[in-house]
Formats: sequence, structure tokens, C-alpha cells
Amino acid sequence: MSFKDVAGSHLLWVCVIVGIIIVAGLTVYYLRLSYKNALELGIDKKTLKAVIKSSVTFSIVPSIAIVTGLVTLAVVIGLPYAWFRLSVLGSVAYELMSANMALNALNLDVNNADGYAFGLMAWAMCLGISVSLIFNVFFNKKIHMGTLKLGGEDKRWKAVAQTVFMSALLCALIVPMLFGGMASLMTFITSAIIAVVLSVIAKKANAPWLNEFVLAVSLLGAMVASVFWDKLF
Amino acid sequence: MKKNKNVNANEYYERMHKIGNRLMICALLLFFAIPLIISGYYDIMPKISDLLVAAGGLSAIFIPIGIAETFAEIPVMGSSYYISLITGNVLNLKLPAALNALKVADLKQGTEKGDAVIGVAVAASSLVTLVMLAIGMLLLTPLQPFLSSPFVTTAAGYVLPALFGCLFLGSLSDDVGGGVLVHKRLLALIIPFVVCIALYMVVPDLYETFEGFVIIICIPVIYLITKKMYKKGIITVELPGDKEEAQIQEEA
Repeated sequence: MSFKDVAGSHLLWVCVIVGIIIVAGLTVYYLRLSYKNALELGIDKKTLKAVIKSSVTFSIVPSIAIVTGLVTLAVVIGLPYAWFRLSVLGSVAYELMSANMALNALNLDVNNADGYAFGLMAWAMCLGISVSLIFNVFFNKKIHMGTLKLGGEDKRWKAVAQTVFMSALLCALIVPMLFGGMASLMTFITSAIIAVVLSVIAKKANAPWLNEFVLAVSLLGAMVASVFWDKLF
Repeated sequence: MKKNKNVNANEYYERMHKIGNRLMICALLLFFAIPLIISGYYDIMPKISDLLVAAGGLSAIFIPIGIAETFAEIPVMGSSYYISLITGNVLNLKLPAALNALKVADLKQGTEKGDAVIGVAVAASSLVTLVMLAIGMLLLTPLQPFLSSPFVTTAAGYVLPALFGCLFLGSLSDDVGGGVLVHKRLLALIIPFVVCIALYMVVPDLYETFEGFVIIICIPVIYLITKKMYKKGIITVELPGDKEEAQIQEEA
């Protein structure tokens, strides 16, 4: 059997569909559990609905970007496994890089590789990412609980100490966005400006519901603008 | 009507981590089941020596990066990190969803309420991606011209600056959620930020590959600077109720 025969086989389709249904089931379970927890902790339904609405609307556009990755990844590893890997676990960048690295390591090309190469690639991609998942099984709780203790008994210092993680994340993450080229910088600024304008409108027009869509609209507006900025620079 | 069963913090986190761990083990079994079934059925089980060659370089890069990102992302994502990892796209979807949820609900990170709301946001966001990918897969042929168009592929390349541009503004505010105000906290970021910029200018590719490590180094540096500035009274904190307390004292 060739690489492409295995990559498009009925058995793989069945495995992938069952796998995605299981993951969707786990996610629905987690949504219900978190929703119930939030209610028990005293968060009202209105706030939770606003969170869900905002999360759903803003997730649509980045998801389209992930779907564009499906087109690229499907060419390399076939549609079913690409669908599985992007629905579960991975990001486009990792999946593409890992598939290519695994094939290149053995000088294989998907166009003339055999079924054995598919098995090899699937296992290599699995192993590469699973170690950090296994790491989480053993250490996630320890790391999380450890960070929650930061600040000790001093309520004020504790409030400041907990902000450090988010600050560190943003501090390191935004540097490539600001200094990775003019188009990237302008997209960043466009997004920020749209968010400010919408927040001001929401406040002035006394329309708090608008805040739920600030992220989605800013994201969409900035991505459309990015095409213009990309051409300009 | 609001329900509040006064859930004990430790009890809550213990329970959520236990559930998260179980979900992660289920997901791990599932991830390995597919290559196992396919390799077994088609008799294409790879030789260990080939697998070591194919996975060696990959693992050498991604294992340390994955672990570094874990250290950086867990404190923000909390107990929802398990489901975030299972459904993937943490940096470009789940993390922004978590930050946005805290903002929409006006909650502070590192609290049970914040943790629960992040769980709701992450799961809702994951479901959207699952549905969008299913639609994309079903309509791949008719959608391919649109998805492969220069407009969409160019825009897709700018998801991160478009996402973080609007999120970044919220992080500039003194309001860290839950009615807590931390004044001048951004001063602690100046030196690490300048160092990050310098590092990026010198080795941009390495910086992007090992971003997780940069975050890990930033955490203790920002922590120490923040602590020093807090002790010196440069960074100050206003807790909910501080104003009322000051007013009562003034009246007395």
C-alpha cells in the first residue's frame, strides 16, 4: 500500500471520526462541569452567557485560520489525519513542521512513499507532542497549586504577584508582533484602535452588551486590514 | 437567583485537577490508539530504530518547548490547561479566550471564580473550532478556492497580532479584575521588555522558536522587580472596599 492509500483509507476515517466524537464529548462534559462550578461559586447566568457568547463569536475567525491550515496539512498527511490532528492537540505550525521533519529524517517524500512511511510519521508526530501531555499528567497540579501560593498571607502582595504570569506572557509574546515587520505592527495597532473605539462606544451609548463582541470585531477588522497593510509594506 | 455553596478553594482545585488528569489520560490513550490501530491493521508498525531517527529531531525541539510553555501557561490557564492541551491551539486561541473571559466577567486570574470562567470559555472556544474544522473538512472542495485565496492566507498569517492587539490594551489598565487595582505595575515590565526586544532583534528566529523559554525567564525576573517595587511603595494596590474603609475612617 502506498502512503496515500493508508492516509485516505476507510479505517483511518472511522478512527478519526470516532476520535473526534470522543474529544467533542469530553469538551461538552467540561463545558457543563465548568458552567456548573461557576454557578456554584456565585457567578450569575447572565455573566456566563456573556462569556460563552464572547468566546464563541471571537473563536470563529481564528478557527477559519486553522481551517486554512487544514488545506495545507491535508496535502502532506492526508485529509482524515490532518482533520484529527488539528481538531485535537495540535496547532498548524507544529503539525506541518513535525510531519515534514519526520519524513525528511528518513528522506521520504509523500508522493512516492509507501504505507510504512505513514505509520512512521503518525507515530513520530504522536511521540513528539505526547511527552508534554504526560508531563502535565504528573506536574500540572503541582505547578498550578504552587503558583497559587505566591504572595502568601499578604492580600495586597498576593493580588500583585498573581499578575506576574500574565505580564510575563504578554511581555514576551508581543515582541515579535511589534517588531516582526510593519504589517504585523500595524495589524496589532489596528486591532487595539478598534477595541478602544468599540469600548468607548459601549460606554457612551450605555450598551454593555457591545463589550462581548469587542474581541471578535477587533480581530475581524484587524485581519481584514492586515491584507491592506501587507500589500502596503 | 445566585447560588453560592461557599466552595472550598483547595477542594475545588483538587477536584478539577483530578478530572483534568482523567481527561488527559483518556486523550493520551486516544492519540496513541489511532497510529496503533492503523499500524497494526496495515502491518506498517515502524521499527524502533526508524522511529528514533524520525522522532529524534522532532522530540529534541518540541519536548523542551512543550514543557517550557507548560510552565508559562499553567498559572494563567489554571485547571483548564488539560482541556486546552487536548483540544490544541493554546497560544492562538485558548489563551486569548481565557484572558477575554476574565475581562468580560471582571474576574481576577488565580481565583476559583476566574478558573471556572476560563473553563467555560476554553470549552466553548474548543467546540467552535471542532465545528468549524468539521465544516471545513466537509466543504473542503468547494471552499478550497476561498481558503487558498491570497486574501485569506495573508489574513491568516496575522491572526496573532490581530488577537493580541485588542487583548494587550486590557493588560495596560491598573484594573486587574475583581475590583482590584494595581497602580504602576507596568513599571516592572520595562527592563524585561527592553531585553526581550534586544534579544528578538539579534536572534528573531531563535526567539520565536524558544518563546516558551523566554517567558519562563521573564516570570522570575518580573516577579523580583515587582516585589522590590511593591516593597518600596512604588507599586501600590487598591483592594475592593478600600475606599469605603478610608471614608469610614475619615468620618470617624
